[in-house]
Amino acid sequence: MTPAQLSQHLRSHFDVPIGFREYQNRRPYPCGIAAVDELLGGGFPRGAVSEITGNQSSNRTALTVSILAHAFDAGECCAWIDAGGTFDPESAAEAGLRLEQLLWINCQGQAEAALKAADLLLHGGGFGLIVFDLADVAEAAVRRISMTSWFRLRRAAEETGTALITLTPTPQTRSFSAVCVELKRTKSLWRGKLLRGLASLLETRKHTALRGASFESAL
Amino acid sequence: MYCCVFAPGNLPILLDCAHRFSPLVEEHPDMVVFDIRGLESLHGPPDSIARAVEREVGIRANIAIASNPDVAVHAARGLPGTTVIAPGNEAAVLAPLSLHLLGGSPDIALSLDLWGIRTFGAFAALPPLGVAARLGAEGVALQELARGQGHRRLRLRDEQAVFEASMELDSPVELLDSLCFILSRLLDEVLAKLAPLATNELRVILMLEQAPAHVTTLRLPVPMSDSKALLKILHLELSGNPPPAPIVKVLLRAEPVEPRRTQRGLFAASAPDPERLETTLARVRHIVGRENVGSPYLLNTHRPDRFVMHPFRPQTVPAATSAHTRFFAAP
Repeated sequence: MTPAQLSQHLRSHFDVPIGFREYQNRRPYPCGIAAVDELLGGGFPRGAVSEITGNQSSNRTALTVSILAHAFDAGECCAWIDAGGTFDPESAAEAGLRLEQLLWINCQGQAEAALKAADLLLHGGGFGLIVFDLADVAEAAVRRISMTSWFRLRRAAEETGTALITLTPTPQTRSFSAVCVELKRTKSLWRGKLLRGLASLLETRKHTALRGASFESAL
Repeated sequence: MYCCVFAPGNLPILLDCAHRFSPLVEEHPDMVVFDIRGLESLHGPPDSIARAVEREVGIRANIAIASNPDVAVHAARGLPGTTVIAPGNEAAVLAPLSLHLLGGSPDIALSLDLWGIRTFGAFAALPPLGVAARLGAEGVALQELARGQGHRRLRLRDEQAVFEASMELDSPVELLDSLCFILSRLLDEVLAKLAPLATNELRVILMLEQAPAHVTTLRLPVPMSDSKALLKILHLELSGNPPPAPIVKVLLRAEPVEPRRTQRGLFAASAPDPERLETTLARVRHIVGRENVGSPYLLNTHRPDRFVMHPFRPQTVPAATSAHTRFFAAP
């Protein structure tokens, strides 16, 4: 069924104006991993919600830091809303993040405060990329974020052109995200008795031609 | 005509004396120079003005009156007692003074010393073209001063302007919304006085009923002059730290600064509007706490939590691409 046919079909059933919104084709933020960028069609989209899910030590934070570092290189203004209060500035600086350009909001485990902060920053406008880190708060608290809140965040991201990247332990954003990827740790890389890095498999939860990409992070 | 009074260590007395004669006063660490044009009708010729200044100052001081400020300064520093220099006679009066009074860069002073030039008169007698060739533009300017030909205006002492407004309340105010209504009016008044300047520090002093004064200081990362934005930030600040007792008097004081002027690049990435960002951050600080919002700054120590929070200041200039990617395609 074409969009025009669908629109006509819906109009025959509902007495409200129905149309399709045009999405602006904005240049995405690459993450610096060729396989992942290829999988996502250039990177994580601007003006949309992207979700990165995965357990601890699945390279979830490392991937996000890499996206942020590339956004900083493009001169973008970025923020990290840290709901769990687990962001480590030292590790982020070692990974190449310019901390002096990053707005860090430490919500100390309050998911609701983090949601309010994300809403305020998104509606304030001007930020190129906002990381909404819900990975280390209780899953029950994350599940309490209503669909209307996700919808509100998505609309704000669309209007301001900000890329909102959410980090969650399990998928939460459903149809409100343009990109949803899941990271799984495939193996730990050792050099003798020293941990050298982590290998991860990234799989997309949305319909794309490619399904997964593997990469390793070095410690 | 200009009068210079030189008395090291007595600046308050000198300033007091100078302001009795003229509002146009130039202040130095050990002397004052002031404009005495127009005082002839009141005190008589320059000699009488010099005597009047001598009486007013009341301490032992060198006083010089000359046609330009630099000649008056050099004469007061080099000649004891009271000196009145008639127009056209400056070079002759200054001629015996030691050259160290002239100032200038150490290189020029050393060159003149090596040439055996030790007085204003000897320097003034050097050919100007030779001075220009050997000592450059600074040498020429110094030679003009040595000849008593300086032309400059007084560098006036700026009176510290105070930008504040206050309101005494007929009945004590307890509610924050009522206080904001009063603050709005005071802010408009202060910002009107401040225009075209902006402010980067606002201080609200609330006099309380049977309690010590409650002071709230708002330090802004960028100069602002938008009363609505400032009022919102003040409201958030006061709601986070409300006064403990009813308010009987409100005083608002603003520190003046030059307004922000920026030129954005056509191809620069977008950045939050600083005024709007400050309001947004004030709201976020209200939710998560002041100490939890900002940019982390790492300290040079091995202690845990080795960072401090600095206020967030967005920078949109792209830096050189750093080698931050440490990922490898899996085999």
